[in-house]
Parts: sequence; C-alpha cells; structure tokens
Amino acid sequence: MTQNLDTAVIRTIGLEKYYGIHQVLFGVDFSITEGERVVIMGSSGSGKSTFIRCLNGLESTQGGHIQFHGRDIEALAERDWRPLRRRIGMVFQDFALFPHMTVLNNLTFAPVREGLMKKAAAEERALALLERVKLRGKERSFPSQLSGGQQQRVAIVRSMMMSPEVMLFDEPTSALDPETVGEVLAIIQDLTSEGLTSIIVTHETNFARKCANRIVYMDAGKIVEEGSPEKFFTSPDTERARSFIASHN
Amino acid sequence: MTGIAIDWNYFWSVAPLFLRGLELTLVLCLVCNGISIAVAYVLATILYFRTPVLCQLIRAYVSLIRNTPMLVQLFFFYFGLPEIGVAASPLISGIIVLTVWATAYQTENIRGAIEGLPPRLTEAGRSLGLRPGGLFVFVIAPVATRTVVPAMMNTIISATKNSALLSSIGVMELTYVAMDNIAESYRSMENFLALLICYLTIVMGLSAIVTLLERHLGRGYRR
Repeated sequence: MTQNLDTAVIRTIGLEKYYGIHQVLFGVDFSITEGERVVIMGSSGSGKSTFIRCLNGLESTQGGHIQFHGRDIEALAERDWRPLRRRIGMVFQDFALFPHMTVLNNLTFAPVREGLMKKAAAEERALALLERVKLRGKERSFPSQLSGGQQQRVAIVRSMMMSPEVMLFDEPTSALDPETVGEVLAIIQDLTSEGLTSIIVTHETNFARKCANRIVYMDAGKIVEEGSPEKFFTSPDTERARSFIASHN
Repeated sequence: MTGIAIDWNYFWSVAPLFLRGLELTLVLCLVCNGISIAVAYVLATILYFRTPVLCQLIRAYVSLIRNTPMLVQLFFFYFGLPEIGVAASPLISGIIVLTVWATAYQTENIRGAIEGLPPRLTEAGRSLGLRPGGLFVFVIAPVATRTVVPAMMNTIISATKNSALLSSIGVMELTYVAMDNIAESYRSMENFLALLICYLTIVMGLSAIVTLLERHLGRGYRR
C-alpha cells in the first residue's frame, strides 16, 4: 500500500536494531499518516514489539532513521526524547501502573508533575476519561484492587491524559484472560475511532480485521507484507503470512 | 545440684543504672539508624543515576565497611586516627562509626531494592515523559521503599545490637553498664539477665514499629 510520505507522522527508513551482536530489525521501512490505525502482526520474536519500542526511544537503534513529522529523532539525547514521548503515548502489555498510587494519582501524576495541567483540570479530565472507559467509581482504588482488564483500561487512560498525537499499543491484551480481552479492545477501538493515529501490536485477528486501516506483517525483523485488512486476510502475498493467518483463525 | 541463685533484690537495685544505659542505647539507635537511612537514600540515589567517580567511591566505601569487622573499624577510628590528629570522645566516635557502618548496609539494601524493581516501571515513567528526578523521587524510591523495609529492619536491629561494641571504647550504654556492675559486684547472672531483657525489649519494640510501617506501605498492594 502506498503511503503519502509528506504527511507521515512517523516514518522509519532502513531501521536496524541489535541486541549485542544479535540483529533483530533488518532495515525496516515504515510510515503512518495522521489518523491512521495500523495493526502490526507477526509471530513471537518477529521484532514487532522491539520496533514500536524504538519509535518512542525506549530502545536505541543502530542504523537507519526514525522521523517524527519529518524530523530525524533516532539520535536524540534522553532529555530531548522526553517532550516527544508526551506526543507518542505507549501502552504496555503488562500495564505498568504505579502500584503505590491510586487510579486517580496514576492518571494525574505525569501531567501535573510535568506542568502540563493544573491538578483540578487534570482530575476533571481523568474522571471524564474514566467515565468513558467505564471505570468511574474506581478512582480511589489501587491497581492491585483492579482486574487485569481494568488495569489495562487505566493504563490506556494514563497515556491519553498526555493528549498524545500517536498511540503505541504493545500487545495490550496479551496478559489478559479471554473474557477481558474484548472489553480492552472495545476501549481501544472507541478511543482510536476519532482519528487518533495508532500503531497496535496484537495477535487478535478479529480486532485487526475490524479496526485497522492497514495491516503490517513482520517476520524475522523485517516487514514482509502490508496492506488493507481485506487483502491481508483473504489473499496474502507471502506463504509466511498465509500460514500465520491459518494458525490464528 | 544447686538452684538458680538470682538475687532479685540486687537485680532491682541496679535497674536505675540499666535505665540510664538503656536511654543511651535508645539514643544511639535512633540517631545512628536515622542518619544512616537518610544518608543511604542519598548514596543509593547517586548509584541509581550512575554519577561518575562518586559511584566508584560509594562502592569502595560499602565494600570496605561490609568486608571488615565493626570492632576493628571502631578501634581504628578511636585508637588509630588520634595518631594522625583525628580524635573524638568515645560517644562521638561511637556514633560516627556505628552510623558509617549502618549507612553502608542500608545503601546496599536500598540499591538492591531499586535494582529488583521491574524495569517496566521506569519505562512507563519514561514513556509518559517524566523527568528522571521526578520519576525517582515519586515512583522508584517509594516503590523500592516498600520492598526494602524487611532488609532495612534487619540492619536497624543489627546496628542496635552492634551498639554493644561501643562499650569497648567506654561509651556508657547498656553493655557497659552491665560490665561495670559485674566488675563491682561479681554478679554476672543478674546483670546479663537484665541486659538480655533490655535488648529483647528494644528489638521487639522496633519489630512492632516496622510491622505497622509495612502495613501502612502495603496498603495499595492488598486486594
């Protein structure tokens, strides 16, 4: 699928990543335009999580470029990544909530601490978002008092509190039991349906079919196929993608 | 076979002396442990941020203290250093050596607790654009503190028990009082019994405080 590179929010060119001497990303070329929802699929160890972690600087890269609105960001110092990360939100597989803070404090801590919002405004926004993800009434609970699905919804809201331009979801449902997967995916679908640019790493094929504008399929550290969900799920170009789809249906 | 010959009249007659010794032991416990925990947090922070040079110095200090007996450190400070012009009273020397000893262990406790935290916690903070200082003070340190309490407690108890070593340089704490009484009266049983009761009371009191602290810090972790 051809992307308009001039309007790309994030673009990678020949991205390479090594863990020691072990190469995990082999020249990944990728771009996402504003409002697009891209689902990255691939088997375990294909490099998809590493790839999106590179996009907000949680992993360093050893070759190629990452551009955010056309500006090279791969070599930024940690302090220069900081303001960028507020614009590129990230949701982790294992929620990573701050265990000693209540739900409300988890949500308001970063924007208030970093001077982006006043406490009252942050609390008002947090409560509105909690209402939206059906967690109103849980604001005084601690993360350990919530189910996995509830914790993940709080983690999503925590990222949304920073009003990011792009959201990265790193296997947001992998740590959840089957009953709660649906509720988290519904929230992601709801929040991203209003044009929030999102990159979602997931194994959920039904979600990818319904929610994605584009599927990117990775194998052995490379993008081997990309296209619309209809095209990818009905007539994939590569044998590798065909067997992946067969095993996930 | 002879019965247990405890002279209870003597036992109660030395109680006021023991109370004075107990008072000094409690002061030592409070001052040395308080300062050591505060300084240990500072040192652990320097280690966390990998501040060059200071990091190596702290590691060398911790290694030196942990690998040598406290009694030797005490004698080195009190009897050795005056030869190069550094001298202090027995009480001040004792406080300094006990604090320096406890700080090394507490630094190691806090460093271990921080390193044992899931890396995702730091990543979550970084991904929200938090500055490292704020992330450390409001997230890393409080979460690590919850896990470090039992280890910290062990060091507090060890430091309190090690305060008995200060009797060897003439600090008039509990053990000194007991030894002094024995030298005067030759009544070991009564004095050592009183000594055991005093240390047991202090340590059990400390344990109770820490249990309450653990309960308070663990309030967000219970379902």
